[in-house]
Amino acid sequence: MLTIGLTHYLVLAAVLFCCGLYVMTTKRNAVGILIGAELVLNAACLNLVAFSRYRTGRLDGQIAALFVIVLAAAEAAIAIAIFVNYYRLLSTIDADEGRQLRG
Amino acid sequence: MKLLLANTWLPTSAELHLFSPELVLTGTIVAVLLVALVAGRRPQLSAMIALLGALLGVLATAHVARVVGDGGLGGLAPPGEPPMLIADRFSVFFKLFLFVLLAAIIWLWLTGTIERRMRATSRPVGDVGGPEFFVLLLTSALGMMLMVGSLNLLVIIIAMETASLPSYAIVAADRRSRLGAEAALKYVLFGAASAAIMVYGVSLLYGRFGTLDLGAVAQASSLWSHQQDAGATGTDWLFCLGLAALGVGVVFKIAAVPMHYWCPDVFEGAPIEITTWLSIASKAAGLGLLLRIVTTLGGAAAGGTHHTELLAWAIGILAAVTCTVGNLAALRQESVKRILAYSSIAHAGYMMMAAAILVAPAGTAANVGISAVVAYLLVYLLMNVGAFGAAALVTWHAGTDHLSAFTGLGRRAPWIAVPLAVCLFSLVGLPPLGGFAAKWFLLVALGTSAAAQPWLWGLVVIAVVNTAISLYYYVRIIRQMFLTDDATLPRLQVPFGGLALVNVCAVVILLIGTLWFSPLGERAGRLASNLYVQPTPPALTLQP
Amino acid sequence: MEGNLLNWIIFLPTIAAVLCLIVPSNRAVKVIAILASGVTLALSLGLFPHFAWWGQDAAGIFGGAYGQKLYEVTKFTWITLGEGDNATPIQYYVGVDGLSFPLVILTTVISFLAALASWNIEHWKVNHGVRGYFCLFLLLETGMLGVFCALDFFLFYIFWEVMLLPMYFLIGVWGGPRKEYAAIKFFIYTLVGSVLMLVALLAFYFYAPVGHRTFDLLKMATDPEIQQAFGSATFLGWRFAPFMFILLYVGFAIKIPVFPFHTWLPDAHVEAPTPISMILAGVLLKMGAYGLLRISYPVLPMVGPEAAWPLAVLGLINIIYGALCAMAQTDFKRLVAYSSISHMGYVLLGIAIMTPAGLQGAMFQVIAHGISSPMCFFLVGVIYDRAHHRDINRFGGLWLTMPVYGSLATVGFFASLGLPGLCGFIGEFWVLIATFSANFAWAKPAAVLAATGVILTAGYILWMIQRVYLGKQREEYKGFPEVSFREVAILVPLAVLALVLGILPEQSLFRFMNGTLNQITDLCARHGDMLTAAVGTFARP
Repeated sequence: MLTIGLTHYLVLAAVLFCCGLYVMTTKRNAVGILIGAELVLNAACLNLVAFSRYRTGRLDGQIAALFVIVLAAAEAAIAIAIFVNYYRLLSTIDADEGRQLRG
Repeated sequence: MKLLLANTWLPTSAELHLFSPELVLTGTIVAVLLVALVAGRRPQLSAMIALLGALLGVLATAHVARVVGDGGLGGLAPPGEPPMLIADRFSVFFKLFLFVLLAAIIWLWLTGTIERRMRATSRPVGDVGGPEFFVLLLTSALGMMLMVGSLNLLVIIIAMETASLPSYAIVAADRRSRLGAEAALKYVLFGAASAAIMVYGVSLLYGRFGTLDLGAVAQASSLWSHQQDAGATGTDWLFCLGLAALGVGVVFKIAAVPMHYWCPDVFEGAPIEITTWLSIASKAAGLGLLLRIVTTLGGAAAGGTHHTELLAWAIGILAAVTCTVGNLAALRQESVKRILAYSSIAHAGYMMMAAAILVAPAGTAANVGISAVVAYLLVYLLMNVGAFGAAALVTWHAGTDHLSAFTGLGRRAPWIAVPLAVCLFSLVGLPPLGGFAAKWFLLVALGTSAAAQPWLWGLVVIAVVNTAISLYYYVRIIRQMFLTDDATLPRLQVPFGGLALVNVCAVVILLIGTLWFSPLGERAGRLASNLYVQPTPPALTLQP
Repeated sequence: MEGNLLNWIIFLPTIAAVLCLIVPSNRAVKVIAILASGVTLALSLGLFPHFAWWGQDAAGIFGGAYGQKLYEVTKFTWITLGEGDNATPIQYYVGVDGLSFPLVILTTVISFLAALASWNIEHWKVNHGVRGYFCLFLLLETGMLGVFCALDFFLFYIFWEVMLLPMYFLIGVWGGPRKEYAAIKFFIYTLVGSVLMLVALLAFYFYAPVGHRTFDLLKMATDPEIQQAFGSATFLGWRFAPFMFILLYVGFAIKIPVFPFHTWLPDAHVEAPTPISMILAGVLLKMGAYGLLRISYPVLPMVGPEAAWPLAVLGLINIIYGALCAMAQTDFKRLVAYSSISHMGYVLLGIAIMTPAGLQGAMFQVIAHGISSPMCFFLVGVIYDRAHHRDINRFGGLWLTMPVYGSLATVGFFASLGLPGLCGFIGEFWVLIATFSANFAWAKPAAVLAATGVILTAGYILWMIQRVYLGKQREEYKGFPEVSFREVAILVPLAVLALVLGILPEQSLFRFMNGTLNQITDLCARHGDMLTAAVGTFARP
């Protein structure tokens, strides 16, 4: 019978990280990019909890994961407020549409 | 599990004392919010409270500076644990730096408000501003202070987000500005991405070494390196990967290559007060954090390891590329804000060069490097406040920051043009101005440690060649002010407060370049002395 | 020996510049500027007693070896570098010896005359900001004097850069039609040169053995341990001494200017207002040569033999290429500018061969050119003020219209041509003789080639005189007023100096500087040989 060990969690986190990275670099939609960032953050959370459980046996990793979740929420709140403002003014949330600032 | 209150650690009042600057700042944030609740939305009142808070903060920091004294680290931690927050001379310097800058920014904002009211442009008074503006500004300052005052990876992450999140929002403070909205969007996307990668890096470091304390990480890593065979070529890939991912976040804050793309766009789109704030504070905080990280790693790796050498090379190359890219990109800009944005990228590159020394095997030479960065930051603050302040005065008047707005300024407003020219020449690094003193200390630091690592001379050459390149774009602004003129343009009426700010900056820059040359170096050395790389890791205890 | 005379000379113009900002009227500004530069000149004449060769012999004046005898020394610590036992002072260290003394006098003379030449600034095309003009002018004078007097490399560098800013504005604001281009070109060229010098400045400090580290130029040149370290070190994989020599050389060559770094000069000269052209040609170009003699050769003597032929070749290119370019010009001022390039070629040639005669010739040429070329530029300025153009082919017969001016012009241009009896001759002749008798295989052909330069010079100057001053009187220039009293007052001192230097070279110049120059050649030969023996890598070609 297969035992779920640290490696499995780490691989899952790595896959999540890669998905997130891929989404961040290829998506043009601002919300899409934000979702990519959240995927990476979740990968980090998974890592922290897994390491804490299997490696250190201390709680600090899990507490860190809690903090990261809170940060992710705060970041999403700010980001979405900015997206709304952007949408109100430019009627799009495509990050590539912002062309006034370049050079 | 039963948690006994008696076993729970609580900081003593003496320890809390060390963090009075942060407490004052937090108090000011609350005061701004509460007063707005009682007195209604009065931007200038909020500004006055914030200014008062900043000045109180200066006093509190001066007080802490005396308590910290010549001693080593003081911190906030249960006995036997590494501190989560550190109060040492370097963080005290940094708090002072931020408070002074805050005061200057708020002063600039007040000037701008008077200017806008005086000229009654289309924008109503206080559109950029209000209680939320100051709350965001002060909160990001709080985050930056914490950034430089910790070695705990979790605290570093939280501090960085506390600094970043309000900054994203404040860039779009003018809700009717399309440029502002676009700038904020780019900023928040870049920021979220780099923060996420950074957190992932922290998780890797935690997994590799089982601790969130950077000091412990550094010691474990150097122990690992020394346990390898004498060849010491084994590379700890997980450690390197984690460190690189952590670096992404730091580099984003500094706006160094390759995470610099946001910088010019955000600087151009943001209100100019915020541009000034970000160009100085955000970079300085990033650099402060970088210094802490590299001195911790370098200090623990007594004598240097394979990894610190790699890190030194990485930082050196990034620094060289950053200042070259910044200077080259600035050459073809037409917007003064953008020129100054690229110039700030280039200056971040110069300062990062000193960070390359710190992880070098040559232990004591590193100390000169830290002092050099501190001296550079001090002068950089003056130069950028002066340059952005003068640019702001012109921009408010002309409604644009295009180069053409500066035509004939030497005649139209000599009291702006001359200090601006002083600041710009100082940014180039021409003697006898402060910018030269800063660059001199930096080059001397590089030269000092080049005895052990001759490749640092390469950085010296790159730095001076960049100085020559940068002359061209700074002089474009000066040329526009003094060498061209349009007789139809009227003289500029500017508020006295703004003039006072930029002229004080210019005079101090001139003094630093001449009479205060030596004192600058000495003072910077004293301020940075707690960061100095010691042969053995410092004991993390509170000074009695 | 002690006293503040030299400090007053250096900083009096700065004090006057501050005064200029305060006084109310433009006229007062002008008076202050001229008074200040005049008083500076008078003070600098006070240096003469130290070098009074009629009172004592050479050893008494110049001391036994390089750096032993200096006059009017002021020395105190300005900045302390490093901590504890390793602390090294960066000094405010000024003084004059036989190398800098003639240049200080030259600077004060030319500055005073240039200030006089600026008197009619209200009538220039671009005349705004009289106050700013004189303020910058005086700052420039401080910078120039500082460069010649500084004996600490750091201080030298500071003064070198301090000169840049005023010059940029003086050309850029008060210049001709293409002033912006000319000003930025000058600025960037010179800054590139000086940042390379900054690298050398740092490297000189850090490559000296610990305990011997210094910025003192004289100590660097005379301390055997430092010399030893410089001779054997490597820098980024290259040999240290030649690499540093090249860095310094680029900085100085841009100032001289030597081909291929010369392109800023015609632009800057042509666009600058007349007094600034005088200063550029009369003083600024001399700094390159001074830097080579004060820093490059004494501190890095082991490179001298290796550098001889490349520098000589560049000098020859300057002589011939400059002369040919001058011949092709139709713009009067551009012609004089290219003639400067040609003349400075002799200086480089004389320095390159590094014999006593070569060095003396080079320095004499420096001073002679410092007198003749400002005079030529002013002569061009005089005619430009009247005709408002500078096209040589459109002039003619000016001697008939303005006989006094014509006569003075002949003196000036003949001095530049190198007519025996005038100052230009002695320098060129000395350099040619020295080259011919130098101990190099290529020396004789080089001397012959350099001598053809003299012919070319005669060619373009005589041809120009013929086109401008001789020939039929042209209708449009008939009404031109003769030179004014002020203009004569500027031209006559220069003409007299040209004459005196030409007739009494020994008494008027050689004896004031030869002592130090010989010490420099001695020092270079001694150290060069010593290091060749010790290190063995610096074989003579």
